Amino acid sequence: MIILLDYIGMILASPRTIAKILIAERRSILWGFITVISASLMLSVNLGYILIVKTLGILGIAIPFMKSVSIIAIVLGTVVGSIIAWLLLGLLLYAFDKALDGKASLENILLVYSFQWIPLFIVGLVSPVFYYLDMVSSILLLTLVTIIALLWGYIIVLIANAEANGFSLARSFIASILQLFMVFSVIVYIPVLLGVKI
Amino acid sequence: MDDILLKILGVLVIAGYVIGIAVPAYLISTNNPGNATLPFNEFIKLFNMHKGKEFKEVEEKTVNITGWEKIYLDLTIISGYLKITTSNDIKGKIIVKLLSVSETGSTDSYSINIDDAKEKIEIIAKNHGVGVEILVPKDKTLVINSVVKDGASNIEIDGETLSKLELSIIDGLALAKINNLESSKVVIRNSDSATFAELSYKYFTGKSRLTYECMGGMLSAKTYVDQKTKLLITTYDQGGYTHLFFNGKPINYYSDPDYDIAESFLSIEIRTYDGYANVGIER
Repeated sequence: MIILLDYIGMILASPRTIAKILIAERRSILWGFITVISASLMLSVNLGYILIVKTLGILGIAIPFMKSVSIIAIVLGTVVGSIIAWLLLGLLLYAFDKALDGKASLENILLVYSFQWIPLFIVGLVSPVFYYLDMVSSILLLTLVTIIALLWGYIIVLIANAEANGFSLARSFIASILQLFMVFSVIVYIPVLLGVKI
Repeated sequence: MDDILLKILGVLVIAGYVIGIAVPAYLISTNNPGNATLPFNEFIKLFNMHKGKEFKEVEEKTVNITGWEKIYLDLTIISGYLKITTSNDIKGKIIVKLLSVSETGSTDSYSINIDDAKEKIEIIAKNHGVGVEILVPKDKTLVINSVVKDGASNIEIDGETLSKLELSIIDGLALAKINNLESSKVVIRNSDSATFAELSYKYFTGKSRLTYECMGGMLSAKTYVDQKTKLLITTYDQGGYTHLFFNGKPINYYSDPDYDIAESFLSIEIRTYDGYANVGIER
């Protein structure tokens, strides 16, 4: 447990070291899987609370069935969506790393990429505040904290990815930018393919 | 020192995940929304219109009246009904008139005269912006409680002195019971709602007309008519479906042979534009 605390602390404070340790210890991607599931579950429960329970509270209605179904849908959607995002984005990062002569294996990249989700713990730390805030303020705070956590996670992944591949930070940055560029291109391209005018 | 810092960070992360899952999960399981408001006044107003809990709070006004006076109430009612409760010691008559019923397009207004000692009347209102005019006798205290509910409504009107009645049930479940009808024109209209209406006509002379209009949802109605009153019952289905019963037997049309020379004549028309109407008429 103490080692686990150290490891988690190192992900936030010293991603380069933890990447080196985890790769050397040949840790499996199960660690990454557990991280992504825990973070997305926590995010989805908060989303469900704000979007469903607060909304029903505002409307002054109690529809237990609708509430349960909506919350289950949000939780399942967020968790499954996060796992898919982790696998696809990790795969893309791996592809661009390889294109830039990276030496990390796919398993290592997936493990390192799961660090992206770790800083979402700050959403959990502020979650009791949502109880006291109105619905719109809760959504704004959740969005703000999530963006901060994702940016923090991005920096952690950038450093850890550089270490895993033996890259400089600049090369790791190029790989991650290419990865993000590809994602945004697909996001824009799919609606165009479907005939949506932008 | 570094080790302690790492451990603190590790504890923070695990605490964040545990708190972040446990707190909202507990609030969800106990259905506790916490601060269930919206920050903008207009939103609060808009949403509270639909909030039955809010409208159970009674707006109470006590008015001392020294003559026949008109009292105007500006009420905004969305999907609900207005109940006006008078104190028991009112003598004379109270006239309540819906001045305008907007949004749904109808500009019809009607007045209800209430005899002495009627404790309450309830008037169905349609959507938004209902002006109410109340005429009350002098020297009396009138306590007006206006209550708007969303959803289930229960209407009971003693309609002996109604000259005209039009009930429109837009949303929610409505149970309407109207006794002693002697009106020249009655319309019960529902849309997107489940409406149960029960009307009983007392003996009257002249012609009267009752229209059930089912615009959607389900309308279940029973009508009791005096033995001497002659009947003409017609249905008009356009998109909806009507089940019509006369004295328990299914019919599509009914006409008394001598209705055109009768002293008391009631024409009942069922119009089903959408949804399902089940109307039973008994004499």
